[in-house]
Amino acid sequence: MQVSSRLGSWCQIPVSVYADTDGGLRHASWLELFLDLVFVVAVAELGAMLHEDLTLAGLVEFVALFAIVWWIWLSLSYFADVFDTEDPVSVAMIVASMFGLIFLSGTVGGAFHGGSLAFAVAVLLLRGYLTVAHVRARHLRRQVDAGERRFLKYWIGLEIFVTGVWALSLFVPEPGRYGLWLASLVISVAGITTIYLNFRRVLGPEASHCSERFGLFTILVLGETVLAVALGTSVAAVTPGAVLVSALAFAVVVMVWWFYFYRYDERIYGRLLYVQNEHWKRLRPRGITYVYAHVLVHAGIVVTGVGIAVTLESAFSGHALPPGGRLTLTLGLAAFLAGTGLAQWMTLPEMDGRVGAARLSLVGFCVLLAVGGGTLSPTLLLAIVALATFALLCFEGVTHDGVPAPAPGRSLSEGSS
Amino acid sequence: MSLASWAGSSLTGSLTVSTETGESLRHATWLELFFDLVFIVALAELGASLHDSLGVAGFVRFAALFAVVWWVWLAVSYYADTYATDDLLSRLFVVVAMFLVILLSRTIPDALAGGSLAFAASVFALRVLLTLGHLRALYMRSEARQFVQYWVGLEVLVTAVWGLSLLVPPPGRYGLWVASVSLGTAGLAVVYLGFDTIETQVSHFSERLGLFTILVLGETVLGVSYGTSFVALGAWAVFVGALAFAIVVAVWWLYFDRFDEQAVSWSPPDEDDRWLEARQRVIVNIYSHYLVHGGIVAMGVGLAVAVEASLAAHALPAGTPLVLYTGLAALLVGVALSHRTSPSSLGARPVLARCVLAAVFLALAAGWQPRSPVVVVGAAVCLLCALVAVETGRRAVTAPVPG
Repeated sequence: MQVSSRLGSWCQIPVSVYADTDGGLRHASWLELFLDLVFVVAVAELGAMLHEDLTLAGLVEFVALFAIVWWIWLSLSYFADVFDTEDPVSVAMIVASMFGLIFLSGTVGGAFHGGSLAFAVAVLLLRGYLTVAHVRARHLRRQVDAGERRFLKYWIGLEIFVTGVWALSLFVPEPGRYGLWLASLVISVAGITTIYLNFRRVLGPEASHCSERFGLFTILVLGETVLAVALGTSVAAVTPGAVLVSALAFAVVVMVWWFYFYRYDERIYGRLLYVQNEHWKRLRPRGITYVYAHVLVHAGIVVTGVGIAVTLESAFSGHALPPGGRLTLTLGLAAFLAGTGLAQWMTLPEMDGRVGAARLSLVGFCVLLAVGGGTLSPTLLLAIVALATFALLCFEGVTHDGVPAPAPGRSLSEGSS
Repeated sequence: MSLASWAGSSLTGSLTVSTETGESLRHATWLELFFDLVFIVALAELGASLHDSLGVAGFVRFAALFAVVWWVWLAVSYYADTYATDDLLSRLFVVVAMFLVILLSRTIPDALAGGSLAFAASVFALRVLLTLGHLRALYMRSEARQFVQYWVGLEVLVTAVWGLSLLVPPPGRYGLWVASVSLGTAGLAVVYLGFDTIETQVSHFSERLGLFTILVLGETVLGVSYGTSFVALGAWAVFVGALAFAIVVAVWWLYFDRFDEQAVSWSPPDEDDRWLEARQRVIVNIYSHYLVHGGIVAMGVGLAVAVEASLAAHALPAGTPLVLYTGLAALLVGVALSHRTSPSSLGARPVLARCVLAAVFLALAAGWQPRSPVVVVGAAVCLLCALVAVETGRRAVTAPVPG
């Protein structure tokens, strides 16, 4: 029969909205985790690029490319959260998109150095996959009401439009090409925001696992940072001094982990964004902010990681710290703290105002260090940053305001009880 | 409360066995995931050492050091699986262990080449930390008191043997390492099979094993594709890259399509007289992951070398097929064992098919020396795809997709 008819039946299986049956949260599938790990390759390439070119121009390039890569990650994660992606065709498409991602990682380095066409093609392949997947989602397996149909129509239309604008960039030479990239990105973000703030009926499971996807990506990016730091400094001899400096660097990484995860709430995404009761107008802006604050979280971690690696290299080789090392370490940490603070500020119950103020002061202190810390030795800078972060951590630990979950665990029963 | 009394109470009072009564399984905590990611650094170092010395001797060194590092990972992870580690002291314990793992990864490249003392010392530090954690368990109220005492005694003994190796010069030192690892492995099996009443924690160890598998796999993808610029290279190299990626996907599918979250479960089965068999299965299931993880790392090194050779348009270095095919054989045997011993036991035929394919890979590793990257990687893709096709064909479309 059968292969052909079976293939045919697979292709015709309408996509279904993910519907949870037993009240518990979903967890990320092994395929999603695999996809995230492939994304980390692209993130690692971006980090390496920044490491090679520690100038202001390099930082701007990094921010621009990171925003694009992150935006694709968000779109893929969102699709997998709303729709069921467990039929064989969806699995095959996701595997193909993973190879597309590897291709993307190979082109990201040249995006602003003569290789913009290859990068644009790589992004178009991934966006094209997403658009096809969305168009497939027109035919849902279950009945949708008029409100949901309207949402789907606008959402799919937006996807096609955004991909179309990106596709145009292939035909336009360079400065214009960058303009079209920016246009595509801005249209997408603005469109998503508009739809979510104006459509009460949206498609999305209350038991969303997007928060978990955010957490997983955060920890994978953090792990990549640890890898970069550890491999980058493996040349140093194991002396007590070197161990102490490494311990300081490691302490910063652990504290970054702590700031993100001790307030982690695995249900917050569904509660803020997919809510359709009378509070939706109040909650949706919070949800949108929560989502986009994560670009600061993730980019901040990568930049901090580069800063730590450069700082350790100078500390071990006895050289002065290059300005780029100081800027990446302090500004990366500031971006991370600002992003985490913003994302956690949006969760309910609200964060204690004193904690928010304390975080903001540390962000300010980091910026001050970035501007005026030019004479500090690498070890001293690392020690100051670690101590200041530790002081904030102690302050937050003492304040103990409305932390949603008692432990940074992923256990289901804790969240639901 | 004074600091001293707080320290005293947290040392003796708060350790419990993980028992969660919720309706669903425990899940790995974010701290455990973080710990695993740090351990990946050590595995990456091991892979890099293998990358630098392809060949039989290099492979044996890799397998031996991998066994030690994996055994440490197992011991720390299993500790966190057995006892509830939500208190502050336990978390500090994990954070310190992570830092020690970073130090450990630095000592790996020279561990069997003049730097064995540093390696032994960093493993010793981790083992001492773990033993202290276990000593806390003596203060725990437990129904399986004797079991816990024997287990803790075993930990102390194993750590002491490893500690002795610090005082003995190299050939003897390696002997003590082997003694310590064998003692730990055999002792654990004896304790679990010899005591009727054991601590039965609600285990999420299968998920930990699965997470570590996927992280190792992700490290492989990173190792193969990192730093490869696709702009400059030709269609041929992209083709080899795609083949390498196909192997990684096939391995992912082989492992996770039949992944069973309940494979490691110490809860007594329904018929009481079969507890011994059930425990044997769990122990084999856990240790089969040494082959899975080690095989994936070796395979990743082989693939990385093949992609590099095709990028530089060079012939393949001599030891590459050996590393790639032996790695694949090891992981096939490991996956077959782990699926065979899980509750939804894999049938005899698929197990046989996997073992036959492993034997074919071993034969290729021993006697085949092609110099073309495409041929080496392509042969592996064909064989693995044949296996996947046979397994899917047999089960038709009834099996659930991994999720």
